[in-house]
Amino acid sequence: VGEQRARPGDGTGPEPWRSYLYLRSNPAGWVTEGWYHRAGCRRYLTVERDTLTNEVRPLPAEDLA
Amino acid sequence: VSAPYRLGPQPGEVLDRSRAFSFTWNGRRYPAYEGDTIVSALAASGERVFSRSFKYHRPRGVLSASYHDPNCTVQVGDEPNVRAAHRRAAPGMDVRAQNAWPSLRYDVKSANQIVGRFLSAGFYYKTFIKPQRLWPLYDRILNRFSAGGVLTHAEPHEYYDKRYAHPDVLVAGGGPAGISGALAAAESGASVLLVEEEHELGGHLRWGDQAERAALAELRAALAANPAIEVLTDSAVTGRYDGNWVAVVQRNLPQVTERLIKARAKTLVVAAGLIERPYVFEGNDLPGVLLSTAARRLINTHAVRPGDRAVVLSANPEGDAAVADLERAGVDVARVVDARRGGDVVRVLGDRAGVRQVECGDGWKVACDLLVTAVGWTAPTALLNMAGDRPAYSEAAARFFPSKLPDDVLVTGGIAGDGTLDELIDHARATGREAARRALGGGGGWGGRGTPMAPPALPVAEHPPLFRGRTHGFVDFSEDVTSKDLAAAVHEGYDSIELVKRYTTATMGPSQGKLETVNTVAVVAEATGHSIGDTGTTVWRPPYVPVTLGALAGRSFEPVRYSPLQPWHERAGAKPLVAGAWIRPDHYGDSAGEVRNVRTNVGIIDVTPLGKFDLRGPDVPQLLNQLYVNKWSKLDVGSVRYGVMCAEDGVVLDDGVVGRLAADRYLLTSTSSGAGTIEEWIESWLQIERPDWRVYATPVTDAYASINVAGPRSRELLARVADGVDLAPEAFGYMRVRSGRIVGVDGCFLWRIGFTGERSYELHVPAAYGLHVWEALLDRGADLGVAPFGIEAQRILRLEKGHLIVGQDTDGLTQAYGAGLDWLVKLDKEDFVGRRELAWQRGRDDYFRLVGLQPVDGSVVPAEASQIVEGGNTIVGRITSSRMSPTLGRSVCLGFVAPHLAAPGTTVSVQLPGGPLIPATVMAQHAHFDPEGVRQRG
Repeated sequence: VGEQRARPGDGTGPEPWRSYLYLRSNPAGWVTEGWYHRAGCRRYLTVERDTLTNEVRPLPAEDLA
Repeated sequence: VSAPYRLGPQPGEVLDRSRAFSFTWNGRRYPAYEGDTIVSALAASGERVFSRSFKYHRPRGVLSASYHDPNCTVQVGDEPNVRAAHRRAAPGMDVRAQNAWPSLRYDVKSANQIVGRFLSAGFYYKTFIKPQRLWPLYDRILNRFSAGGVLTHAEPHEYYDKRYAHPDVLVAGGGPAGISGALAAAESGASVLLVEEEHELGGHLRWGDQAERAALAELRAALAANPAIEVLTDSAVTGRYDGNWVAVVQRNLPQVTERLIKARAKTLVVAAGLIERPYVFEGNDLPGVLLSTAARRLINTHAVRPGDRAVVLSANPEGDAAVADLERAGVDVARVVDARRGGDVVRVLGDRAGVRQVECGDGWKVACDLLVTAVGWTAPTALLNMAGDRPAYSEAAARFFPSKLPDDVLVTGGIAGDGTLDELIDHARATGREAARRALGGGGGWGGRGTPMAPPALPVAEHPPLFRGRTHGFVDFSEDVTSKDLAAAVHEGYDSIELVKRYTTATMGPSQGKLETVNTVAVVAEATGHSIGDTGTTVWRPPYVPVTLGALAGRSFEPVRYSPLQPWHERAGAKPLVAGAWIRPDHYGDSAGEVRNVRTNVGIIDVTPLGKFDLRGPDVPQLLNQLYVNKWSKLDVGSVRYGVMCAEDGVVLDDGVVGRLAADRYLLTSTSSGAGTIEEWIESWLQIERPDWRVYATPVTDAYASINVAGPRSRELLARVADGVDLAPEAFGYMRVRSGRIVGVDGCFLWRIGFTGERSYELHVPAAYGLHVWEALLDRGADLGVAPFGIEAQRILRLEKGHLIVGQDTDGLTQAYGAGLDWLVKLDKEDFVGRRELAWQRGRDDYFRLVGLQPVDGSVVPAEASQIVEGGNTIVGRITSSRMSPTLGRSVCLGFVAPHLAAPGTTVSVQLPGGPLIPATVMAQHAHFDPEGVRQRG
C-alpha cells in the first residue's frame, strides 16, 4: 500500500491535499508502510521497513496502542 | 574432415565413443562423439576460430571453453546466439558463424580494425548524436555491423514450460561444495534443489587428477542415493529476489526448449565456485590464448589437444596442473613462465590463424601456437549482489569475497575461500547443515531448531595480483573494450566505475562481467590511482545468464473463472470472450438478433461475474456514503440505487447498484472487472480509515449465479418461475428489490434495474441452482420467445440506452463530472472519497465531456478509439464506444469531446483510422433510445 500518511481533514486546500495524494518522502532508511496481506488473511497492517536493506520490523510497542 | 587433435580415451572424458556422428560447421561436415560440445568437436578437427568480434571483427577462438566463453557464440539452425562451448553437438546439426561476412575466414568488416580509433570508447555517444536527421542512416549502418545471429519467422513455435518449486534449501552450483552442502542439508531433513549450469556435476573435479575424480564419483553416488535432493543440470539460477524467490532456467528437458522454475527457497546456498580470469596484454584475444581451465577441460573432459607448442603463464597450482596435462596430452610445453617468481608475458604476436610467438617479460621470444594463462579468479557473486551484499576485495587473495549476507543466504566453496578438497567439503557440509537448520526452524521466524553452527572459516590462499601486464589488451571480449579504452574514459573524466562501464560498455555484453569485471575494476583503479577495494565493483543484476523471452512468457498459470452456467453456454455454441479472469459468452451466433429479441420479447444473460458483496451492520449507510459520490442515508428496505465510486483523485473507479435487503443487510454489486479492487477498497476503508464502523463485508460473487431477464415480456416470464413474489408494477416497481423462491430455489434475490434500457429483473440465485433456474427460464418461456443473449448484445443494448461502462467510456483521468455524472454527485455530503477534487473540478470548465454522438451518415460505424480532430491536426476528443444499433438502424456512439464542442447539436470531425474524416453530431443526452426511460420503468 505504501508509505503511511494521514488523510487530511475537511477544508484542506489543493496543495496539501495533492501532496497527500501524490507525494511520498521516500527516505533512505526506516519508513512506516501500510501492507496488505492479499494472498493470506487480507488484513491491512502497518510495519516499518528499511529502504536500504529491505529489513522489515513491527512498529514500536508505543505506536501500536 | 578428420580429427587430428583428438586424443585417445581420457579417464575423465565425457565422450561416448561408441556413438559417433557428424554435423556441419559453415557447410562442411565434422565428426563428433556424443558428449562433445560444438567447440570441442571442432577443436578436435583443428578449427581454432569460432567467431568474429563484436566491433573490430577480429578472429576469436576458445577462451574459457565454458558456457561463459565470450568467443564461441554461433548460430544453430534457426537459433541465434548459441553458446557453442556449452551446447552439445548433435547429429546433423547445422552450425554457422555469426557476425562475419562473407565468411568467418575473410570478414570484410574486420576493416573496422583499421578505423579502430573511430570505434573507441564512447563512440556511440560521440559519433551518432548529431545531426538528428541522420539517425535512420546511423541505425542502418549500426544494424549491419552489430553482432547477433539471424531470426527466422517461418519455424514452428517451440514449447516453453513453467514450474513452481518450494524447496527448503536451494543450492546454486553443483561442484564439490554444492554437492556436499546439498547432501548435508538433506541429511538434516531438508528438501533440496541442486542447480548446476553445466551438463555434469562436479565443478573442477571433472578435469582433476585421479584422486579428485574418485572423490567426485563418491559424491555423485551419495547424491544419487538421496531421494530428498532434486538435481537439475544444464540449468541456471538467473536471479534471487526478496524472500528468496529464486528464478531457475532449466534447459535439460526433452521437447522443452526452456522451463522457468519459480522457486521459493527457505534458504539459498550459493556455491558458484570461481571463474578463471583472463590476463590483459597485447594480443590477448588471439586464437590460441586460453585459460588454464579451458586447456584442462579440453584435454581431460573432451579429449582434445588444444595445440602443438605452448607457453604457460602460471600464478597458481591450477596453472601448474595445466602444464602437466598439456605434457601428457603431447603438447610441447616450450616454456613455463612462473608469475609467482616475477615471470610475465608482455605480448603475443600472431595472425588470422592465431598465436605465432610469445614475448616474455625477460625478453625471450618463443615461437608457439598456444599460450595458456593461469593468473587468478573471479568470484561470481551475482546472486549475493542480488541479496544486497557488496563483496569486499581481499588484497592478499586478489579477489572479492562476500561481506554481509541476509540470514536466508549462505555461501560455500571457492566463492567463500580456499583450502584442500577436504576443507572445502567440511565447510560445505557445515553450511548445508546450517542452511537446513534455518530452513526448518519452526514458528515462522528465523532462528530455527538447535544451535546455530557457523561453518569453520576457510583459509584464504595468497595470490599475486595480476590484471594487466605491461601492454594494453582486451578487457571485455564480448564488447571489444580494451584497457586503453578504459584508461581513455577515465582520462575524459569518467572516473567512477559505474560511469566507465556505461560509457565504454565494458561488462555490458553477453558475458555480463563474468570474465571481465575485475579486470575492468583493476584497469580503472590503475588509471585513477585508487585501490581496487576503493574503486569497488559494478553491481551484478539479474539475470545471471540470458533468458529467452519464451521462457519468461512460458506456460501461463493464470486462473480462469467460469460461471456455473458454463456447460450450458458451451452446449449452445456460445463464442467465448475473455473478460478479465472470466470466460463469458460473447454471443450465441447473432448478436444483432439477440438485441432485437430483448427489445421485442425477452432475453436472458448470464451476469454471474458481477462483483457481489454482502454488507451487514448498522454503519453500512455511512460506508456507502463514504465510498459513493451519491447519497445513501435514505435508502429504505426494498430499494435499489445506482451509485458511482470515485478514487481520491475524483477519477471514476467503479459503478453498480446497492439494494437494501433488510434493516441492516445490503447487497452491493460492482463491475465484473472491478470486483477484486472493490473488495480491497472496502476493506481498506473499514480497516484503516474507519475501524470504528460496524460493518461486515463479505464477497459473495461466486456464491450466486446472476441472471438478467430483460425485455417487454420479462414480467410475464418471471411470473411463471417466481413463487410468492408479487410482480405487479405497483408492488414491485423499478429500482426495487425482493427476495423469494424461484422454481423451488429459496434464498434468491430479484431486483429491477435497467442496464439494457428494457424492463428487466436481475436474479441472484444460489450458485449451485444457477443452471436449474436458467434452464427453467428457457423452458417455461419458450412461447414468449425467450432466448439467451451475450456480452456483445448487452454492450449494444446499453450503448443504445447511453449507459457508460467504467474503463471503456472512462479512463484513468476521467473525473465524475467529465463522465456526465453531474446529476449523481452530491457535494453537500459531509465527506466522501474524491469530494475535494470533484468540488474543484466543478469550479473549472477545462475538462473533456462524455457525450452521445451520432455519425451524420448512420451507416458508418467509427472504430472505437477513433480520434475527434479539429483544424487538421488537433485532437479534441475520441470515440469510446461505437456500434451499429439494430434497434435504430444507424450507428450510435459515446465519446469524449473538448468543452467547446460539448453543446448538443455541435458537429465534430471523427478521423477514421487510415480513412477519411466524417462528421458526427453531439447529442443532447447519452441515451440514443428511450431517453425518458419509459420502457425500463414500465
